[in-house]
Amino acid sequence: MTDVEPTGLDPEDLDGHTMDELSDYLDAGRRPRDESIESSPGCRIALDALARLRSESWAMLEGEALPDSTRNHAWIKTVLANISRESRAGRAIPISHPEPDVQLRMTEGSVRGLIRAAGDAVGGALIGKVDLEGDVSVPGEDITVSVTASVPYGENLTELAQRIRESIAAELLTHTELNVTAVNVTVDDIHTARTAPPEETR
Amino acid sequence: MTEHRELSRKLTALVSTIAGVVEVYPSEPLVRTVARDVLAAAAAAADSVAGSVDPDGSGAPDIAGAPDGSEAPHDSGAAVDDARVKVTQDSSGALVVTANIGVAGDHPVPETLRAVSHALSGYLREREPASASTGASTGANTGAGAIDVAGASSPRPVISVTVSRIDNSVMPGLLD
Repeated sequence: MTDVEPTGLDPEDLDGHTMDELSDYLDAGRRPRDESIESSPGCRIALDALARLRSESWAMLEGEALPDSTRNHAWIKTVLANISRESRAGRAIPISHPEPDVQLRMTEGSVRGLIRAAGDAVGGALIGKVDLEGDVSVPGEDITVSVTASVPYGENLTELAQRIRESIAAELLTHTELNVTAVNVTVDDIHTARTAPPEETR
Repeated sequence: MTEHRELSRKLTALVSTIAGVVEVYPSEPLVRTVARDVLAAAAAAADSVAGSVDPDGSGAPDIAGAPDGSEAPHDSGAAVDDARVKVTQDSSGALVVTANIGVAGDHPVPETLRAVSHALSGYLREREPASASTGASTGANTGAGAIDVAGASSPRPVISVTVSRIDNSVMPGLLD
């Protein structure tokens, strides 16, 4: 597991805000309302992901993982950097429309956010990284989705990975016109006090 | 400019009523909007000071009229901006409408986008004959939901709608 990429925390990534600022804002119950955060889709996607990360899985990760605290802290920092990077608007993903003068699109950031949410919603999993491989700006192009995930100790990894895959595929089918040819799920961590060394979890 | 802003307000209100739309985002980051507003206010203030002749109030110095122009636009203009749909004109004179929205997780994005674009084109189609003082547009509509509003004399509007966020808090059936 790599350490935080400095570029992932560039303030420009999130309309001038950093993940630290968003974290503090979330801590404060999003009060007083900061319009520059609330009106930024990138910040909102990052806030959504942060809020999920701080749910029960986060508590489990922090509370039970003292022996592995350094490694887990690094994992969390990496996830935060990934969230920051993925929340940017990124590429424009077209949605079809018969009129040539009407252009409909989704941002890559919104799709990454959708994928992360779909994965986070499955059985206590925490999505680490989301990649969309292929030219998403070209309709019909083959697209491969790759995610990494940390899953709770004791789960059947094959079954959980399959459920994550199905959840992501279903959401992409509902919300996009992407030609998704594969959804790859790599379980690269297990969050619990009895976390095995990284080599054994892969 | 003012006409576009008024239209933007109306279109923002319209878009926010479409089923599945949970938010209409500004088409540019608020930081940039604030900076632009401050610069515009400063320029207007400079103009009003330089032009010592009393302006006859046809709409020029309303915001910049405040002597301490630094705070006014920051608080009022950008903080609660209800003109979030961007309205401009391209070089051919065609209206360019750009909306940036958030969609509820339980509403499929493609359908929501099409509903928004349909509402925008419908609004512009209704509005155009009234505002196009050239008249003459005998409604050369070819049907099929075309945005053919003002016949050959007026270029067709360009509508661009982007989903920038899907609201995951409304995504039933995922949590198990």
